[in-house]
Amino acid sequence: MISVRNVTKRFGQLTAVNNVSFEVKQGEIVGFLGPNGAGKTTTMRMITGYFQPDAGSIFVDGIDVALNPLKSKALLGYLPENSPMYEDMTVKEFLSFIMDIREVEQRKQRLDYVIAAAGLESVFNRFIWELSKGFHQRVGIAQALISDPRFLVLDEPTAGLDPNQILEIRALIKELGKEKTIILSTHILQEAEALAEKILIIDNSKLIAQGSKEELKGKLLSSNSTKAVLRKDDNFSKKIGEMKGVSEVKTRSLDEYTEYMIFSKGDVSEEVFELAAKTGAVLKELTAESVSLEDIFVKLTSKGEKK
Amino acid sequence: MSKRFFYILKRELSGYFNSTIAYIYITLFLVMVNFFFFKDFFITGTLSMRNMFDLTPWIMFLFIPTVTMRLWSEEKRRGTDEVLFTLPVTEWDIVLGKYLGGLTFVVITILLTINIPITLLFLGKVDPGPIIGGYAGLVFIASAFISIGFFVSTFTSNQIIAYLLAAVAGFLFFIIGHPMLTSGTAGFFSEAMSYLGLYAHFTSIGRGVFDLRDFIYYTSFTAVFLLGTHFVVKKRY
Repeated sequence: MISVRNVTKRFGQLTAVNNVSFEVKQGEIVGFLGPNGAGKTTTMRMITGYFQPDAGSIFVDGIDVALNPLKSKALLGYLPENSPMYEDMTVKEFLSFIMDIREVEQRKQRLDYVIAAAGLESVFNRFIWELSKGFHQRVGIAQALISDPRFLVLDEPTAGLDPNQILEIRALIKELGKEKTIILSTHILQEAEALAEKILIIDNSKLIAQGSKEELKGKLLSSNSTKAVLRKDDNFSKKIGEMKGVSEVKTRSLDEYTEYMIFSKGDVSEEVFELAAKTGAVLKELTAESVSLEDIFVKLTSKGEKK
Repeated sequence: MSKRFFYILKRELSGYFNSTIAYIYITLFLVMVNFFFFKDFFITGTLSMRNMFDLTPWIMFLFIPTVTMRLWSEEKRRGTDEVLFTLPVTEWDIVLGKYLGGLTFVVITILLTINIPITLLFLGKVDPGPIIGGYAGLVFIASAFISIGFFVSTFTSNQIIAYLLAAVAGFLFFIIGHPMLTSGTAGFFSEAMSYLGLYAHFTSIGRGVFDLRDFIYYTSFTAVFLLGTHFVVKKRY
């Protein structure tokens, strides 16, 4: 289990991670979701011991990362963002170096496994600087897997891969997730939806939601959402926010039209239509929408105007 | 510390030898040392390496920064320090492994000047004392230059800046005890400066006098900068 307790990290004036707590249970795949700069990478860097938190503590399998970093690091396989590597080494040399330091037993077996799993047969003897972005990323994944760690921390594992490779790596992660505890970050919603059993949403340094996809959807589904596109009309804008049952309205300007996302208890599409008719606003489009992970994400993280 | 520092050392050395620059470095160093030595050798006609031991530190203070500039700057620029610091190794393993990697590389280059003492041996009877002492001195002074270059390279991800900082810092420590600067100063001050400077310790070693004080000086000089490096690296962000 990975346990993050009230962790805060500051860089000068900037608070990168603000009092974040969560747990990743044994055998779980957890997706860390958030816009760029939200604090995903900083959090992962604290779990892996690259950064020290300013407050709070982190435990990997009960081991305090701050007090016993060697032990916790030995349990973790880590793919850093952009998978930095020694470009002047060949793939073989680099993987051997990691095996040396991680004191991997049965080297041949592990090497054969990661090479097959990450599809590195064709580049095994090439220098890392010669590799394409996709292969580069796959060497990073191989490196994280080579010691057969119980915990995997993957920072944007599919970044830079082409669509086929993305599917391969996702399949690999799913397969690994059967026996390993995995925490992966992504800003691609479909990826989190496809891979993760539990999702953490972080925005602006704070953890703003966590739970299974179903739980997150459930939270939102207690409220419906209705999309309405109308010709710009101040009177309608004012009244929609005051309508009974409406919890939140987000607007987006589309030239002479305005798009409203109306979150409410129960279906309010008929009321919206009536309101448009009453105020004389020109209604172009009206849809009662089902909730996708994307809506949850946008609702939780966007700083769009609230009416 | 564990035996893992050895793997860091190995990786550092393979990093040098995987790059063309290492071979250019070695060639240039050997050509320069040999040129300056043999240029005067046939004129003076003495079977001594004194000349070479006096001269090589000056070449080293320009060359060693090319060895140390990548020790941290390159890690920072490429982000590979994140790989190192998240592997199960201590900061000391990393600092010592890298420092010894740089030192091993420089010692290899120094040993490649073996052609000079061999030439002397062919030409007549040579006193081995000063030669062994001189080589030991070169290794110690190299160690000092490497530790200072290593330390300053933790402050920048730009190799050129790392080079310049190392050359300037090395030069300062080298000249503060030089007679050219201390001859006009009063007794205690002059002595203190020449104790602090790298130069004075080197000349006595070059003469074949292996004084315990010089040994302590170089070892503590290196230790201070390695401690400084460890401090910076441990703090990171």
